[in-house]
Amino acid sequence: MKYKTFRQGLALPFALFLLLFVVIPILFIVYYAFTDADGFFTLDAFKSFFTSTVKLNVLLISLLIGVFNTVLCLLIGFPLAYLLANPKINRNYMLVMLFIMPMWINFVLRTGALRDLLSVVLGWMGTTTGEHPLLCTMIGMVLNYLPFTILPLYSTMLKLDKSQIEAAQDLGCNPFHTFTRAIIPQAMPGIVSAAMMVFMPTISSYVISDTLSEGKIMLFGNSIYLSFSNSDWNGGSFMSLLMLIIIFIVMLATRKFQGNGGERKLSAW
Amino acid sequence: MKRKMRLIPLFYALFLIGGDCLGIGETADNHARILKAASSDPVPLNVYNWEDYIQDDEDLNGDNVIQDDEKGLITLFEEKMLEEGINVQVNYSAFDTNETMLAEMKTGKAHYDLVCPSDYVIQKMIADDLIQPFDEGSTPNYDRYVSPFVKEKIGEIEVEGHEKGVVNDYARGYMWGTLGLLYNPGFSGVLERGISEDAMRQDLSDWTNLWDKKYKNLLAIKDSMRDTYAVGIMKTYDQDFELDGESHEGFSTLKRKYEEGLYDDEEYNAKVSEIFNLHDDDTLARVGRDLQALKENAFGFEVDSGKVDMARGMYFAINVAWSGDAAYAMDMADENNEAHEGENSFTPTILKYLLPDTGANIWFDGWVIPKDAQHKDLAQKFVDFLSMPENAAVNMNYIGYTPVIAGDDILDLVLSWYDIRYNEDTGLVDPSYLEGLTEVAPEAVYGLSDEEIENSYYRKDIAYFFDGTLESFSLEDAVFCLSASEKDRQFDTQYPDSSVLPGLAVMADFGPQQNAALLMMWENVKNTNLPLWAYILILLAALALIALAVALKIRRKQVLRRRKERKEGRLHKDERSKALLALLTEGL
Repeated sequence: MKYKTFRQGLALPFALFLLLFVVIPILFIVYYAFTDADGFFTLDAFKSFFTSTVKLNVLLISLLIGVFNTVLCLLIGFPLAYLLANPKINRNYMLVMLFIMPMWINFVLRTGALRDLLSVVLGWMGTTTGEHPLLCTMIGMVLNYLPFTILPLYSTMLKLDKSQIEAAQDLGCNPFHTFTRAIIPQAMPGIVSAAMMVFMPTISSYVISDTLSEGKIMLFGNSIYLSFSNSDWNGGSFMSLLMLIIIFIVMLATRKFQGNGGERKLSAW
Repeated sequence: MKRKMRLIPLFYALFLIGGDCLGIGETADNHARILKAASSDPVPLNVYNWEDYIQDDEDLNGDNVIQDDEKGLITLFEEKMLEEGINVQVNYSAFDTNETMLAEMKTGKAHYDLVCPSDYVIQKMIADDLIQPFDEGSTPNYDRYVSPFVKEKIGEIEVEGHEKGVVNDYARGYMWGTLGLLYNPGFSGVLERGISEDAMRQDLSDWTNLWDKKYKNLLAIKDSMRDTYAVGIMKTYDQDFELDGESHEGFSTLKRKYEEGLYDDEEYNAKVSEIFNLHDDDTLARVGRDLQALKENAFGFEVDSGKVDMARGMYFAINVAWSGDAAYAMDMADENNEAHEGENSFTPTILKYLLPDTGANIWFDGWVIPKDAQHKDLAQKFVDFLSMPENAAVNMNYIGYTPVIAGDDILDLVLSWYDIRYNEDTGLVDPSYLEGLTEVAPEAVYGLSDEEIENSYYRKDIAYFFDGTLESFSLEDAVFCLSASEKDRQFDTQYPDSSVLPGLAVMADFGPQQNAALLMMWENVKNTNLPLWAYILILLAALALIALAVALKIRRKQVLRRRKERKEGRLHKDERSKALLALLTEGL
């Protein structure tokens, strides 16, 4: 009995930490989202958000860019991770490090450097970054979030059950069916956590879109920032809350897949 | 910080003892006073200013010790106060936008003794009763040396419920400037399109040409709604217009009539300011439409990165810029040019700045004292200290913006920087330097060949700025002789020509309601609308996704049901076979 309470006591600092830095800030957001400037309860922020076509459009575009970015990252990251995890092709862990290394460089610097690079490359083609804000933003997004996709996929791929794949081939599956019925289900937890690692931060990111689209594309994160920097704390809080809710829904929807893949512990992410 | 403060009295004591031994230093009385002050608890003075907006301690020789000549204005102020018997500790913090600062002030999260907001925010703070007036005569240096021109401009801002000129009671100016166009005539995209420097300058003298396809993707505008609004309205109301059934004269007409002599300086300025400050719903909608068109034509938006991009000669050729940033970018480009001089593939970047003919925004930042300030007296002393011309000169040298302070020291500094007659050895203006050079009229500079530019100079009179503040100089000394190559460069950027002054308008606060409307308009400008087919496609994709999910669910249910049936069937079969077996055994 004594031992048990001691063990429970060990969790206390973490509970306190969560309360202070997670729960209380969220409560603040909720409070600001449903009050006006004088602190009285109101649904103004709610109404003004859902009646503003501009804000809804910004949300839609952010979601779209989020989806595109996730799909692109998975399309590029999946084969890459598969190859990296294959000891015949990649004998050295260094190759994995190379793909993950950009994560250790401050991403504002990285984005600034990419802007210069894109400007030179587009310059050769006779155009400029300012003319293709969407293209530049997407390139920046994919490059920035690719390491986040590769890492969880790589760790799942390392633990792929080879015998299952061989069995599928032996039992008459063509390569396509081997892929869809033997590899993908096994890699599902990695895919889901990779998708989550990309989708959520993409919606709220604003430095990348601001820098690479030359300020021409406004994402949900920019919109929230704009509200706060113009002292519209209530509107900004409501949008932050909405983003939390969206993320929560996405997490609920993907939980099912994460469980299906068998061992959830497979992915470190 | 605290630890450093505790050490200071000790250092001071050592310094004084050393001074005594050598027989230098001040009177014993004074020593005692300083020692007493140094050992008392420091009085905190909380100052809130823009980032990089004051000359600070700078370890120039890299020995990790701040020598006497490396001391910044804050340290010097603390020392000066110590001599007067007050131990002050300046707590200096910085903000990055007016709005964050204002939000902090309003919620009472922080207490400051001195804050440095922009013009329209000062107006808002007076209206909201957040700040208190300065005591009369509390800033003698400021009163003595502030440029009368700037003081008059500050006084033009009207605050509801207060009499005209009230801003001068509540605020002391710090820096001022204009919002104009910084451009790079040597930019590759400009050269490719065959736009000559003269053509570019003439085009840019008219705000509406920023909308011209000729400059598509060559222009960066400010990612800040008030500044870009100031650009938009110059185009929206360039021509005569109707508002609420009344017809008004546009900026072009006003300018023409002013040139024809139909309006005098004051009338013209009043009319420009009036139209420039329109912000009713109709005007907002019109400016919003124009800004959307401008976004289409522009390379992009920027706030801080533009000056660096311009200095590097990259990305865009035209930048809507604050004068201080423009001067900073020119300096940076010049330094870069010098560093790469003589390299084969290097083309130098020469930046120029101009204010379009039909008018522009003039702005200033000023010191104000919040209502809940703890040390008003010290705050006033600090402002006065910064207003001493020698300190303002140090500040100007360091941050690149133009102080509102005039006076001998400033004139001397600016002469030493720009006037070709300035003799560095004697520190005096020497007319013999003009020998062999030809004087040309300021407008004639543009027609000169490269060779002629080298040997020509023009005169520029900025007496308007120094009027009434000079002691050993006379107003005639404020007529500068500038090399023709200096035209539209740093000096012209920092001190606009007296001829453009009547067209410069201060931009007032819009009030809470119209500020919210402006924010909505701005979001609309920044928002990217997709083509209609894209929306339809998204809708279809979403519907298809839902249909797919439903179909999968139904199929899943069917599979489950079939499995169940099969299982039941099996059970049934089992039972039947069992019954048959029983029947058989029974029969046996």
